[in-house]
Amino acid sequence: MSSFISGNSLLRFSFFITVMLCLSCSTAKKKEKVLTVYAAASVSKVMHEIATDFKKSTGITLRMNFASSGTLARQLEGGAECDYFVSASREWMSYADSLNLIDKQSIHALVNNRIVAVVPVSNTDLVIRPGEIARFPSLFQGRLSIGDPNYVPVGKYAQQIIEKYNWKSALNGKYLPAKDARDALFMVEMGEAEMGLVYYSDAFQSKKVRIVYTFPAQACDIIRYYGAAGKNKKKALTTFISYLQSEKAHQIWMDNGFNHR
Amino acid sequence: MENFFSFTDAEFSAIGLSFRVALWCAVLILPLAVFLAWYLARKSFRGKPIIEGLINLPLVLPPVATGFILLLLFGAKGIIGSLLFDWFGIHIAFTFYAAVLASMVVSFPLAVRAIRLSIEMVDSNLESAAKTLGANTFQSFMRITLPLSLPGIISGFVLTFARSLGEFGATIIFAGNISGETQTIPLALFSQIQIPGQETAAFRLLLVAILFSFGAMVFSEFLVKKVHERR
Amino acid sequence: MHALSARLKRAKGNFSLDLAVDFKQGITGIYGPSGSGKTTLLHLLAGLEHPDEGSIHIADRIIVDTENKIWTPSRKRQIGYVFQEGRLFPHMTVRKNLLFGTIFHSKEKALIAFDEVLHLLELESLVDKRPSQLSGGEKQRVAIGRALLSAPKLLLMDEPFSSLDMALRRQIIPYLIKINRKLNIPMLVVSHDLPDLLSLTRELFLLKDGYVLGHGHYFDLIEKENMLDVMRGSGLRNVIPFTVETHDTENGLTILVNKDASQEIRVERELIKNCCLVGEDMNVSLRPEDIALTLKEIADVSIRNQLPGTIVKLIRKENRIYCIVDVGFKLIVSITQASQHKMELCEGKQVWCLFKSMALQINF
Repeated sequence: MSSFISGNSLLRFSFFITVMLCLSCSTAKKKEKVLTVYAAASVSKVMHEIATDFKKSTGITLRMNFASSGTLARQLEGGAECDYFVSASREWMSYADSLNLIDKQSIHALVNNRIVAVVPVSNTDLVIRPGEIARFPSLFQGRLSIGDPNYVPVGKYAQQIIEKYNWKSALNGKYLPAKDARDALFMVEMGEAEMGLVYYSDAFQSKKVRIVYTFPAQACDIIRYYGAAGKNKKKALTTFISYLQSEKAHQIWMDNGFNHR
Repeated sequence: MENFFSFTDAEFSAIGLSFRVALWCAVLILPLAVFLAWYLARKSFRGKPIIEGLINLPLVLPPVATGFILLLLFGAKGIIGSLLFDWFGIHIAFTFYAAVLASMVVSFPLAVRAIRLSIEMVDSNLESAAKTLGANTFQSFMRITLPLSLPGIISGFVLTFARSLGEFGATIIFAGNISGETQTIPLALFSQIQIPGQETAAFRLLLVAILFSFGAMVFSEFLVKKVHERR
Repeated sequence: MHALSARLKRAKGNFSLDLAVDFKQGITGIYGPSGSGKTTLLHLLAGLEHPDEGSIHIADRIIVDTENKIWTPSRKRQIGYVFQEGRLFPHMTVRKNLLFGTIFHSKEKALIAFDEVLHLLELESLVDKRPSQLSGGEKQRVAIGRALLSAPKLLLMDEPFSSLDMALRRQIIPYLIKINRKLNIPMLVVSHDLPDLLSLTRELFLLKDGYVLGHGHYFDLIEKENMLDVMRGSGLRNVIPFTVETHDTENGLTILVNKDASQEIRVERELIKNCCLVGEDMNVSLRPEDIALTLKEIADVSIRNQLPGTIVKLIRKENRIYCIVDVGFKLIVSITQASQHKMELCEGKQVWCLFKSMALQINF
C-alpha cells in the first residue's frame, strides 16, 4: 500500500517537473514585432526612452543588450546576433565591419558626445577655472575613474586626453578602470573615486556627480556614436532606421545630453 | 605558438596577486571558520538557524550581489566604510584588502560547512572523556577534536583557497579590475577576452588558472591521505 | 565519614531520577536493571550531566549544590571515570592515552606512577600500540589505567564487564581488587550483572526506575522481598567464597574449600594451569534452583553437599517460594509452593540444603 502511494507521488512529481521544463523553454521569437539592439552602455538611458516612444508609435518592441562597445563587438564575433548595433566609437564599428558582422552600407553617424571631468556631488569646493586645467592631476587625491582603455570607448577618449595634456606620468597607478561607461560614472557617484572622466551625457543626467570641467571637442578624437544594421535584414528595421533620423528621436537625444555644443 | 609562454608583466602580476589573495584569504578565514564550525557543531542556542542562514548566504547569493552588499557596507559612503575612513583614514573598497575580503566572504560558508561536518563526525563522547580526565573545553578541543577533524579542516582550507582563485563577481564589484592591485587571474582573463587579438594571452591565463586549482586539489588529497596514514 | 554523598533529582523525557546515596570507602556496587538510572547517576556524579535539584559531597568538599548555585565542572572533580566502551582516543598511542590525564595536574597529586600502572595492569607490551590494535580486554585495562593516572579521588566504573567475554571478566576482576587494595580510593562499580558485581563486592546499592530500592550488604538485602524482586531479573545467585586448597597435578584436579558453612564444602574441578594460586580466594556461584531442601540428612544419595541450617525467611513470588536459609551464611533456595505446603516449611524450621558439586559455578 505504501509503495503504491509513493509510486503515485513519484509520478506526480515527474509530471510537474516536465511541465516546468516545457514552460522554461525559450519561446520562438515573434519575428515581425521585435528587434534586438546591441548598444553601448552610455546610451542605455536614452535608448530606453527611444524604445518606449518607438513602441508607442509603431508597436515594435526593442530588446536591448548594453555593455561597452568593445565587449559587444566581441560578443558579435563570438556568434551573438543582433538586428542593430550602436557603438560609441568608430574603432569598434570598423572592427565589427572587418569581420563582416554588420551591414556595411547601413553604417551612419548618430550623435556626438563630450568628455567631462566630474566629482561626487558632495564635493562642493572644487572649481576649475579655464587656465587651471593643466594642474588637473594635483586637484584631487585618490583614484581617477575612467573606462578601461582597452575595450571601453570612453576610456580610450580619456586616455587620449591624458596623453594630450601630458598627465600620463602624474596619473600613473591612480586609475580605476571600469568595464563600461556606466561603471565609470558609478564609481564617482559612489564616492569610490574622487574624480572621473566620463561622457557629458552621463554626467548631465546624474544627480550624484557634479561637472567641474568640460573638455574641448579637440582634446581627443571626435566622440561620435555610430549605428549599423545586422546581417539579417528585417522589415521592421527600415522603420527603426528612419525613426532614428526623425525629429522626435533627435529631441530625445538632446534632452539626454547628447550633441552638446 | 612561439610566444605562447611569454607572460607579460601584467599577467605575472595577476598570477602572483591571485596566489597572495587566495593565501591570505584561506589563512584569515581558518581560525574564524574553525571556531564557528565547532560552535555550531557542539552547541545549541536560540537563533541558531538564523546564524546558519547568514553564514550560508554567500553560497546562494550571486557573487555579484555579494560584492554589491560589500560595497554598500565598506564603500567610501558605506555604513562601515565611511566610519573607517573618518576615524582611521582607511580605504577598503578597490584595494588589495577588498579582493581578500571579497574572497573571504564567498568562501566562508564552504569552509564552515566542510569543517563542521568533520567536527560532527568526532565522537563527542571522547570529548567528555577528556573532561573527566581533567581537560577544559579548549584543551579538549585542541587535543582531541582538532586532531580528529584535521582532514575536514585541511579540506576547508583548500576549498577556500581554490574558491578564492576562481572568485570573480564579488571581486570585480567590490575590488575593481586594477592591474597590480586587484586584478586576479579571473579578472585578467575577463579583460583579455574583451580585447581582440588577445586570445593567446587569455589561453595562457586559462591554463594557469586550471593548473593552480588542480594543483590545490591534488595537494589537499595528498595531505588528507597523510593524516589518515598516521592513524 | 562517607566517601561520597549525593542527593539528586533529574528528569529526562519519561525517566526521572530521585535518589539519595551515601557511599563508604572500598568498592560499592550499583546494581539495577537497564533503564534504572545507573548511568545517569554516574554522569551526574562525574559532572557530565546537570541535576535539576540536589547536591554532591565528596569527603568534605561540596561539589554540587543547586540551591546555592555551586557547580564544579568535570575536570575539577578529580573523579576517574572508566566508560563502558572504554572511549580510548583513537589518534593516540596507548602511552599517550594513559598519560593524557597527567597533563592537567601537578606531579604531587599523582596517585600512582606510570610504570606502576603498566605493571599493575600488565600493559608493558602495549604502550606503543594504537587502540584499534587492542583487544576488548586490553582496551578496558588501558581505560582503567588512564583513569588512575588522572589522580582521581574516586573511581567510577560503568559496566566494566559487559563488553568482555567470560575469560576476560575473570581477568579484569583481580585487577580491580588489586587496585582497590593498593590505592585505597573508593570505587563505584555499576553493573546489571549481579554475579560479576558480587565477585567484586558485597556492598550494593539497588536502583530501580530512578530511585534507590535499598542498600547494604548482599546477605541482608536478599531477605527483603522487594530487593529479591529486582535481583531476580538478572538471575539470582548465591555467591559463596572459596579458597584454593591444592592443585592435584597427579589426578589433574584443583580442590576448593569453604569452611564457613555449617559443614565443610569441598569442590573438585579439572585442573587448569595458571588459573589461580593455592590460598587464593575465589567466588563460586550457586543458583537457588539448584538447591533442594530436605527435612533431614539423607544417607544414601549421590549428593555429597548437605548443609544443615535454619529457615530465616520465606518470600513468595508468583508461584515460587524463595527460602532464605542460614547455613553459616545465608543461602537463597528456590522451591515450588507445592513443596512448601507438603513439607510444611516455615520460618524457624530446621532443614538441610542439598546441592551437587557440579552445580557450583566457578568461573575460570
